Amino acid sequence: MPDKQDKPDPLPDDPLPDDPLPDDPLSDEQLVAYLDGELDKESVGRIESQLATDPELRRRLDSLSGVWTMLDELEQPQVGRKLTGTTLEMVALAAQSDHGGGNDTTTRRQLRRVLTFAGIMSFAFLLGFICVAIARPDGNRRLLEDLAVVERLDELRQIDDIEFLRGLHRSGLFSEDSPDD
Amino acid sequence: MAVGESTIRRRALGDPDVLLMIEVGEDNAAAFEELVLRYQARLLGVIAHMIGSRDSAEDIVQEVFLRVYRARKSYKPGAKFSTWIFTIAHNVAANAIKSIARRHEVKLDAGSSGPMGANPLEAIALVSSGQIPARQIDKLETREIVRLAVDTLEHRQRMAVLLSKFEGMGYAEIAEVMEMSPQAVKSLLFRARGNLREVLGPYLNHGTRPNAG
Repeated sequence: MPDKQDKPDPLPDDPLPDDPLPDDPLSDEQLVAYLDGELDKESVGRIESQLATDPELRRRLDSLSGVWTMLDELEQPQVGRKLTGTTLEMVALAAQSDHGGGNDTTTRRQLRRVLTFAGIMSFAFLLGFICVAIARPDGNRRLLEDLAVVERLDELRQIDDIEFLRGLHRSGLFSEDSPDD
Repeated sequence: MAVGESTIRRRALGDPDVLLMIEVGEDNAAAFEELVLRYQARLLGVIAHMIGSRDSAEDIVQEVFLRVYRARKSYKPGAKFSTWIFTIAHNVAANAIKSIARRHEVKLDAGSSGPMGANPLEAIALVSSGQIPARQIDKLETREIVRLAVDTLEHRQRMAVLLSKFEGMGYAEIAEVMEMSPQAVKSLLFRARGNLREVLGPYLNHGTRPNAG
């Protein structure tokens, strides 16, 4: 008897003839498909009618099914409580590890993100400071350069002749190491 | 989302294990334990015969459940749950077999656990030739002969046989598990049955016990 006669759908790419001639000997492959319950009802009916009248076919079928039945002798390993327990423990540990590992990873990722953001901000601030320092004119520098003039501004205003003042400047009067200082 | 809520519910109603897996996805530990209880023996039965070592088979079963658990959030009920979990089992077992082959390891049980010796064909030849008396061939030895016959199958044939015989899977379902076409599965099972008949046929022809004469 087929193992799974309730599966009538034939395989779509089955190369075996769907409608063999009545005199066609059935191949072992067809018999195996019959035993496996993989033939449609029509094919099953045809094979069973041939089996009823063909002792040689029955012998071949018995040979194939007998070997299959012998597989029932295979020992089925029994599962102990230990396997169930260790499986559940192992999965619980893995779940815990996944959970903990996930938090660590998230924390590390957040820390890395914060540090990256802080680094970018610091660099931008430094770059801006340098640019502003270069671009903005320094008023104090000019004051320092003209310090000697500023200190004597009231006296120098008394002099109307600019050429005279230039002469004083050339003589080094307004330099920082002038003899007056 | 590819699979709608109503589709999921429909599949869950048709396959209670799908519903359990959905609950596992909602971090229901009891549902996961129930799945372990339902499937561990089935997985162990198939994988132990695939690998030939109970210890390795237990490791693989645990690895399968670990993968099931880790896939809980992404699980989409696209097939029967048994098909899905056996697909995982097949992949893990296939990797283990490749790994064992790379290390040139011999199967632990083939040489050590049975009374027939390391080489199945050699052992069966000994029985057939009468060097092992027929009276010693009891049920346990018959079991051993069948196991050794299964061990002679190429591993894909063996997997197809085990899924068909012990899980009652059809060609289409085995094809899904083993990522092959149903036609390829059909050929695989046909060749496997032929190989088994070649090895076990003499015993069938002489009754349940081999003929010592």
